[in-house]
Amino acid sequence: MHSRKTKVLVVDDEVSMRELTSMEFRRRGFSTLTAADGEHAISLAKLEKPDVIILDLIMPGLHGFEVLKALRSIPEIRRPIVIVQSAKSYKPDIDKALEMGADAYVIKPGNSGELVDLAIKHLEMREPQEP
Amino acid sequence: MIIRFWGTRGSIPTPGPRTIKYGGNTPCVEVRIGENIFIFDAGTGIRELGNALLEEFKSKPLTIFMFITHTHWDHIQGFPFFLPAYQSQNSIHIYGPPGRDKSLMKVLQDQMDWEYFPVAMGDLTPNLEIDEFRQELAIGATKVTAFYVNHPAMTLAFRLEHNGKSLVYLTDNEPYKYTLSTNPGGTPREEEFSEQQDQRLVNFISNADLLIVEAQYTLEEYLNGKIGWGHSPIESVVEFAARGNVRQVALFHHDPVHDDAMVDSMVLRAQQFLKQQKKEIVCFGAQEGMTVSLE
Repeated sequence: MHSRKTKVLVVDDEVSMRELTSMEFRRRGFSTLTAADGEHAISLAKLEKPDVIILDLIMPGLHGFEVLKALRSIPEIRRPIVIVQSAKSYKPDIDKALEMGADAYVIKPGNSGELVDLAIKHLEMREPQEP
Repeated sequence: MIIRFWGTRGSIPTPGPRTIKYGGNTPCVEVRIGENIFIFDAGTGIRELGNALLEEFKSKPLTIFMFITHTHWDHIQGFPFFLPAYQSQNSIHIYGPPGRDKSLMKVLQDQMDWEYFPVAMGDLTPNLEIDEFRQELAIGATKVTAFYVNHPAMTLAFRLEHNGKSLVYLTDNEPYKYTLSTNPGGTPREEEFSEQQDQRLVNFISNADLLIVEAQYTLEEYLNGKIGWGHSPIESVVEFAARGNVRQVALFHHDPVHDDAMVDSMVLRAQQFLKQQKKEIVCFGAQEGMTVSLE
């Protein structure tokens, strides 16, 4: 199970989306960090090594795909769970995000409670199984 | 600011008697501001533009600023046939969005891989620069800003502003209204959210002196199997133009299935909509060879 130490980084240029998402994670016992753009997200990920990253695609500056590529290629970032949360609903975008290493893709506006459930599911899948 | 259309067709070239009025070449628009030459997209129309530039300037060195909205084939396929790129005295600056996991340069290079084309990109002018472009830049007194639109690729719209005049080049976009709430009505939250997303685009185009905008489908065509293809019904396009209070709208990226008579009827439909809205917006269909002046 996750604990209060489980850190979630929410990356979104829209403040309402950022706050709504991080509020739901906090309500469910996670600690949260937020970034409004891709460059800040990469810096925070290097510094704070979050367990889960909720990543928007369309942002000013770096596109979410560029952030995802960076996250998956920087050695000092241990592999966080990345869930892309985007207003883009096209299958080619979804397929590409998963191919590039996203663990899941959800379409905005979505349900923030279900997003947290999804993050927990992926965290539990990552935890070592008891013998 | 002088704008000239060299390619207005979406998806694939459509030469032939059905498309004589609006043209069959894929997207390419030239903008002249003083000495500066701007090009939006490198569809097949760019071939004739290149020939015209060589005819006009002979061997005089050219500096060209080229903006690529995205790298779907119809927006880049003319580039290998753009003759000014083969002349070492010319400088060509290409700006466009990064690819999803390939750089813009790699995508353009790959198009000229020897399996597809006999000349490699490395054999073009040494003064060729390719920059991934994300937000805004200034070229002399001209400001260019970019905005990501809703299309199944990393696709930008561009806004060019100079001396109080503004042009928006917006091709290949689909309203979030349809892609985020395709169930009848959607939930109120989905509707509100998709409206917010579409409003961002309306803000981007607002008060433009000329909006060059894709208008690929009629609403009937769109609702009958085209949702999720990344393009717009004409009704949405003119609604956005009206909300954004633009001054002129050039309907663009004509569907390859549409002949001249069909595009004529779509232009008429758009004009009628704007009249009903009591909007004094000039609306026309972009034709290959057409020139618009924003002086």
